[in-house]
Amino acid sequence: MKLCREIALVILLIAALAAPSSCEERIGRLKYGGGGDWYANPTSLPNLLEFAREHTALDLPRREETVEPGDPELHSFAYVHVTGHGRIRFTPEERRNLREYMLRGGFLHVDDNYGLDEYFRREVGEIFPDRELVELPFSHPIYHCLFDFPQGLPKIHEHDGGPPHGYGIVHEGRVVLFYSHNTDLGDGWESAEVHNDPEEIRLQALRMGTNLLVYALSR
Amino acid sequence: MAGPAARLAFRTACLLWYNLRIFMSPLDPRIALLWPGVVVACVALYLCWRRLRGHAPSRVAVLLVLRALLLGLLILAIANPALHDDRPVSRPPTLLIALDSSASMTRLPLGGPSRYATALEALRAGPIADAITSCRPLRYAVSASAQPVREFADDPVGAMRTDLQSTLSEILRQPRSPRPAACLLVSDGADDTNRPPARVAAALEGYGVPVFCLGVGDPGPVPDARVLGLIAPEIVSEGDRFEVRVLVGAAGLEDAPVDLTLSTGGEIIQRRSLADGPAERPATFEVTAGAPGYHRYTVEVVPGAEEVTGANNRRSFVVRVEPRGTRLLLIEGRPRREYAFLRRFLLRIEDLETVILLRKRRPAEFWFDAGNPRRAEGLSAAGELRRFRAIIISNIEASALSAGFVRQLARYVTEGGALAMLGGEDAFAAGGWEDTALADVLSVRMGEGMLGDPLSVRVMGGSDLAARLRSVEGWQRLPLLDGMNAVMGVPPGAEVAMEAISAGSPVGPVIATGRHGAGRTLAVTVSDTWRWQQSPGADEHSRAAWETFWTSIAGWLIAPRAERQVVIDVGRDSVEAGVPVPVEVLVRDADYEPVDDATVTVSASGAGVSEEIAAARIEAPGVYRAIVRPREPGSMALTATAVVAGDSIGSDSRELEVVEPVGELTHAARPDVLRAIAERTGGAYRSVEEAEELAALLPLEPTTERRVVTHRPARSPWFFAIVLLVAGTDWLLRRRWGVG
Repeated sequence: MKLCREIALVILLIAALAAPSSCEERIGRLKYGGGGDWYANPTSLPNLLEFAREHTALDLPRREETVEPGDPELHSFAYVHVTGHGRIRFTPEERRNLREYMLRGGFLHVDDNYGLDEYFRREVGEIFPDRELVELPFSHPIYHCLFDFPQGLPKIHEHDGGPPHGYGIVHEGRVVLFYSHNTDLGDGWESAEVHNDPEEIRLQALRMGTNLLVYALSR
Repeated sequence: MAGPAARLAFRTACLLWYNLRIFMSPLDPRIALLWPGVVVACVALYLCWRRLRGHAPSRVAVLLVLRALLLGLLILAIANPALHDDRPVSRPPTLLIALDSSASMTRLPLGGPSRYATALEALRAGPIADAITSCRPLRYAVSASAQPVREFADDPVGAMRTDLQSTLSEILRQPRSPRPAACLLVSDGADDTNRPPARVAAALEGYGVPVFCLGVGDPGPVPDARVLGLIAPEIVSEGDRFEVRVLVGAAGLEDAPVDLTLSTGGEIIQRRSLADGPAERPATFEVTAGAPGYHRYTVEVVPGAEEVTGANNRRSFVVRVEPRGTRLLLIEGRPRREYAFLRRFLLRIEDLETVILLRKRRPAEFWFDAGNPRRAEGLSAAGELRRFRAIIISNIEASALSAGFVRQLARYVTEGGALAMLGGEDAFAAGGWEDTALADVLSVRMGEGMLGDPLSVRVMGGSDLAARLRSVEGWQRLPLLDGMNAVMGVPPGAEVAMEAISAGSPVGPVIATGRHGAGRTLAVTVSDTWRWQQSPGADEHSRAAWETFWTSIAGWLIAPRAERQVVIDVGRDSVEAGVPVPVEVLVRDADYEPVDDATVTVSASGAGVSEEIAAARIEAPGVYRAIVRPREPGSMALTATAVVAGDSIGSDSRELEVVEPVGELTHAARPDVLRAIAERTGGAYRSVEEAEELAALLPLEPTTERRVVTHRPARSPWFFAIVLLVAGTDWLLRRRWGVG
């Protein structure tokens, strides 16, 4: 009997440690359809979450959760990350759910890992036919809400050359979708040995990512 | 021989009887001894005659006469008859002399001999003094009362107040015989009653004593600058410009410029120089209203060396500065979904200026987050807390706020603010708030940690807030919340507007409201109402419920606040020592309604006063009045507290400056008063320069009266000498004639 009780306690303890705290915000990685590698940069989000926990008062989990665009649970997530190199395809139901998620208060961050732009822009047009993806000015709070980026998005990786661009869908003054293009923030978030990026570049990427989290959880 | 002796005895008895009948009262106990005395005397004479028989009849007769005379004298000594002498007597007249010894006499004018010194000189030398020598003077020093004196003092302490009518009445109404021939009043005519001369004169006419007035002092104005009038708004809005209009009196200083200052908080903020000119000069100050709250300003005429007193040069007024629009302060512990939704909601509210301090880094890096994000230099960057109509403390641990700031929050509520604490794992006891100054202020009793069970909610009670929440039905159908802060009920007086249900049982209040001091508090013990807006189970109904939930809370918090439910209104902040000060206390409830059933106590300390007075309600609704009497110059603190049904509903404190009484220091001489008194009572008025004329007019002829003088011959030395002579003669004759 005593042994059973001890086993039960150990199980409960493990469950408690494994399960996210009720107060933690949920951070998600969008598992979209169309064939693109939604799972790219696997160490990026854990690294970002660790960095953000260390440098802010945010209550964040250690790892992100995977969520599908049509899943009703999507609405429980404070921040949902989208990355990949190729095709993205949403069903009409997924588009409706994503749109509602963002307009109701959610935040979607799309990071072009190179090759995503064409497909993503097409899908954004489907999700928000009434809105335009606009480039955010460098003065936008998203670049200054914790770490200061006076020149906008930091350049992490060279893709097609040129400066990085930060676009957004704005609803009632709030950026509900942020699209980082021609920079690849996710690569910068990855562990140092993955891309061998200089530490300063990684730091810039992590700081910008932290800004996105702070923005998502305060606006 | 027996015949003449008997006749002598008979005559003596008749005389005695006559005297006794006339001069002695029949009730006198000595009358009872008289008759036995007469009998004893007769027996003694008889025995004497028997012993003397055989001697020469002439000698016997002489000795018997002597014995009878001696006995008669003894009887007279016992009877002690009185003799009354009625005759005319001449007496000098009685003159009442009243010398005004008030401050206007003793301290004015500033240069040269005082009015009092001039008057004293007239009484001690010159025609008035000569006239006084021929009468019987009764001297009185008059000011607030009449004091009989043997001689007038050279340097009296001038009383600050005079009432000529009452002090003269006090002197004249005393019964005297004979009636005083006249009253000589030496005064400047100035008193602080400022009664019309005719009224004073009419009051004194009835005593039948002519009052002769010797006037001293200059009827021209006494040099004195003062603030005669002051107009300023009572309430202005933050940042408004308003005018302060001042009327300066410069009596007797028409040829001199006057400097005027406006100060607040002990600092002069503006100056005006008023050029020489009329006795009344207007001035205007333009002031910009500062931070919300009560601002006290002081207008002061800079005292000049040539003016009689500086005690009336200052006037103060209080302006209440209202915040421009309604302001709310939100202090958030961390970026989180609950905050993001609440922030969007608050910033949507029209006419509400929301200041947000969001802690972005631990332990205490705060950012302004209502507009463009910018780092704040600590919580003090929010400014004075009382500028905010409501403050929300949202999911932040107590240690992130300094103990001083937490005490400020508690005082903010006590003084009338509205404070809410929102739930989360850093709120209430989980955030270490149970041992802070806010613990007794909040409307819930904190329990330990968090409750992690899924919760539904339901509206409770009949409060206004609950009524607002009931505009939405089906609260229990909303998406479940994920736990709450543990609370152990609410303190007495607090109300639960919504409670949490877990597994069908209530587990504690979700919204509780309460009052503390003049303010109010609200507690929200959950931290994920955002689920009603955005979660798998959220729908239009739950979103409407969320809107109602926060609209009700925000409406409750930012409703017009009863800034101070108890306010002391004295109307000034400078009073004179000795002058009763009516202190009005305005009492309102939290909804601005006047409270008429409060027990209001005013306590005063300082300026020679230490007392607690119960204020009585007067006709105006919610207004109570007490009279405080500062005794000496200094600072006097006033505190008013109002209690209804045993509960304090607030208090207010003010400090008054008590100055030396100005009294009559600024009074010019008033010969018109003296002239009216003299004319009405049958006397005469002359100035001190015309003292000779007045002396001649004084009715100081001697008076003649009949006077009855009473003598007691039996008590005179002559009577005693006669007794000795008779007894000695008797003794010598008996020895010479050899009679035993």
